[in-house]
Amino acid sequence: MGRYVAKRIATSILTFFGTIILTFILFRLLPGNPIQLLFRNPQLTQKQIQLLNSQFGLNKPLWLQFVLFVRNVFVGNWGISFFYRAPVTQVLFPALLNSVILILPATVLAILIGVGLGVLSGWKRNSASDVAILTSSLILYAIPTFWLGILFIMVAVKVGGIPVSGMVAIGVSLSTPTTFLVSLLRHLFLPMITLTLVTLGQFTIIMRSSLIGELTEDYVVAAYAKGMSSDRLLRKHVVPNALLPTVSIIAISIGTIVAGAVLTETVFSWPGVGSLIYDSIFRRDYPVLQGAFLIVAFFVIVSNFVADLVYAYLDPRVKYS
Amino acid sequence: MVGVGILVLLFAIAILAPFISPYNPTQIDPNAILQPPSAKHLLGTNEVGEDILSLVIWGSRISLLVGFLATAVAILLGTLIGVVAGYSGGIVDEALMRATDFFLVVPAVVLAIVVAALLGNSLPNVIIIIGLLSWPPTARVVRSATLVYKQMPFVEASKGAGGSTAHIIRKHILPNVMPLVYANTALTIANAIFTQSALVFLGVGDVNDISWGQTLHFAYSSGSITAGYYWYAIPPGIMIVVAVLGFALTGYALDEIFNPRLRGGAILVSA
Amino acid sequence: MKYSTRGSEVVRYLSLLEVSDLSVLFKIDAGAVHAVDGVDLQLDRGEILGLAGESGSGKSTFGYSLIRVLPKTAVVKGKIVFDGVELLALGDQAMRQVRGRRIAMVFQSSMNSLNPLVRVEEQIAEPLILHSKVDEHRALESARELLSQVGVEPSKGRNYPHELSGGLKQRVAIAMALSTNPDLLIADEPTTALDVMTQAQIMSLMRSLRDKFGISIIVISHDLALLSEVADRIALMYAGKIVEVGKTQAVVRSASHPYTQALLASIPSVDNVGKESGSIPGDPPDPLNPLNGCRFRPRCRLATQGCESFDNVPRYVDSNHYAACILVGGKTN
Repeated sequence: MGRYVAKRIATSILTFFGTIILTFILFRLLPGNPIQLLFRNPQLTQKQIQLLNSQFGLNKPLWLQFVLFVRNVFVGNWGISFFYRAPVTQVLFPALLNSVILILPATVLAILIGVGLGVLSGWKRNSASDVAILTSSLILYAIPTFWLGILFIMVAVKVGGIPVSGMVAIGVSLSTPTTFLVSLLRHLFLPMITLTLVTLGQFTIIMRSSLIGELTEDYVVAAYAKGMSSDRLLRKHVVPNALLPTVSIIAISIGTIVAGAVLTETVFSWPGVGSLIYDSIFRRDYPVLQGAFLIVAFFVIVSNFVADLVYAYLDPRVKYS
Repeated sequence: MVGVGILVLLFAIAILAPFISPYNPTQIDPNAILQPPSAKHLLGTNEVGEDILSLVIWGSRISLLVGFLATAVAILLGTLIGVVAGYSGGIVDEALMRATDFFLVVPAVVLAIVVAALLGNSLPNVIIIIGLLSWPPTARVVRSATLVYKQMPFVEASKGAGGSTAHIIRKHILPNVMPLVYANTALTIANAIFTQSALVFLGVGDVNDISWGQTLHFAYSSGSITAGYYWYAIPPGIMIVVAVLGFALTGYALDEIFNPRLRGGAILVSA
Repeated sequence: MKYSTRGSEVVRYLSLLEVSDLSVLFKIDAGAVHAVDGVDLQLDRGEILGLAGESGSGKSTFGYSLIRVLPKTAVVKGKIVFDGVELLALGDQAMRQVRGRRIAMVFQSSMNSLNPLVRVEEQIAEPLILHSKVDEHRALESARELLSQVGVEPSKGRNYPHELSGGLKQRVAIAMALSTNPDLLIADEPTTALDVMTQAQIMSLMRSLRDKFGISIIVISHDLALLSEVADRIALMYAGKIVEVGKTQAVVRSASHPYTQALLASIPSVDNVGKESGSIPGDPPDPLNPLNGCRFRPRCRLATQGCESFDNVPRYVDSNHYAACILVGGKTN
């Protein structure tokens, strides 16, 4: 087990580095170099220009620039936002928190509902409920995230009373914690439903195929021959085995979930990293864009690592690979 | 299947656009702004008086075009990398697979957004970007298949007869591997259509050409969503759903036909 | 034969298992597959019955039908009377009391009968936990006991299935089947994928189980030689029907059905060194279109006119020895 974990850590770190290299290439070397734009940005003061110049060493050879870049990343010096005039990390951190508030519950819900429906659908294959679940999952999978968000907004506006943008009502952060919490939850409602719905479709489909595949395995007949009810058969034998490939797929989908979150945040003006990416593009606030990209990539890498750990925990055969 | 039927319909719409579209989609009518659906404008009009039905019909062209071209890039790249990795083995294989895994892990849409923002959002750019980010799944499938076919007797025979690597790949490996790619192609197209519309919606894609994503972009930015002009946003979204469904269903059907066990193996290998 | 009292009556149960006119049909697109077609069979307590036949003869399907673990596409007709109870008439819950508890099954050794994610001793303990009110701790202890009884070190109980060899896994499967002290054990090709040494060990294990605990065993196998070593009685199936049944000695020494004779002749042995070992000519029977009359006739060297309209009922050869062949003389029973 230890070897497996060590191997996964090594891979994660490698991917980590790959991301840093990619970011460096994107933001420094490609034509239309955003840092060069620094000097044409009217919002910058002379002092800031000199600061940036020395920090990023724009006159130094490329490899040195890269080394400095890596160092800056690890040290936490991710530059200064053009727009906010504050360190990028300071801008990113609250946004990251807000994104997590949205993504985590949505993902957990999507997994629970998606897997549950998938089991039901797979067990009752070709029945009416299977067809219904499968069809709705396919449709959910096909619906663009932002379009679903738009639909919800339109409905909410018609119905009234459900907030469609922002995280809390204005001024609420100054009042009691309960009021704050209530306002937060009310604003969280639509974005979370959107993200959950859009994500669970593929989980249902995967779990369903996984379960159907598992039902043809030998040990299922042998277990049934022991005289247990189908309920126990599913619960203790089939589903745990069927979960394994599903966990792998969920791990791969983390990138898509994050992408969905970006779109959802933008549509609902939820102040997370996604919105930050969107805003910083139009504000030409490249340091923030770069920082946001790094953070998103790191988040996905870490989540993948956690998913791999979960898989290893579930499958005793893995410890020997 | 249902999927193929949908696709045929979509193709027809795209190709026949000039003939079936009631109006020129760029024809503005200042007197008929934001009109709800009526006999004159079956799907209503937008904020500059353009007919939405026409916009949606014409939008199919770019949306489908980008889908196809981007996928073409992805499939080409993916197949190339997959075959090289699978056939060469060793370090080359390891390196290429690390790269593939990397691109699988990093959220493609986010990367696309960032790259498009940095490099400019012209149509060719968008196509290339989407293509460059969609090759990993194809590469994996092709690599797994190449590994299997590499071991087959007829490849050994060909090698023994003095066949060059290029020849073997072309004549023996590729024809066997390609059918497995078909299913992947359909799913990749579905994804590409989605990604393109997402990029355009956010404003980092090509906002000048008429596409479904573009219509949605203006629907959102013009504030007509919160104002309650539902006919603006619903049709293009439905078209995207239909298109993605069409390709996805076709993809699944092709998968069942061409891909008995190989796919299953590939999924478990990643853990 | 055992005696048992019911009320004030003394009822004599002649056998543990009485199967009458059992047929199993699978509905598929191309038609119906008659896997088992009118089988009568009996089993005494403490008896080892060998059920022999080639693949497709219906022997495995027969075994599965006894505990009713056939897929939903199967149509089962006939009677299966187990210890006085008609099994096919039982509801789901009642059947679950029999399945895994009074009749247990050991599957083909090439099959993966064990859940890869669960430790071996937990899987052995599971039937106990299911059917008796035994707490988990006691059940696991019993499981380890069982492991030693089937010749496996109890410490291996903590292992996962993939950590064990094929032979060990099969012993585990047997322990799993024995955990509730069943009256009947059905073993479907229990040693097929194993090496000869392990085969012999497992067969002797079965014999000792019968000797010690009085369990009746049905061993299903295509290996007639193997069955002749371990079974008290042998029944042969062909194309879903019983073609010969009797005490092992009788069947092996005086095989009366041409199929049995051909099978025996094709077994290489010290006695026929130098003689050509014959395989049976012709194609296996088509399960979708069973022949009328005797189904073996296309491949039978003794086939005659009457075979086409033969009624396939086993005929009396000797005491407790029957064969379904028109050539079996004289007395029908």
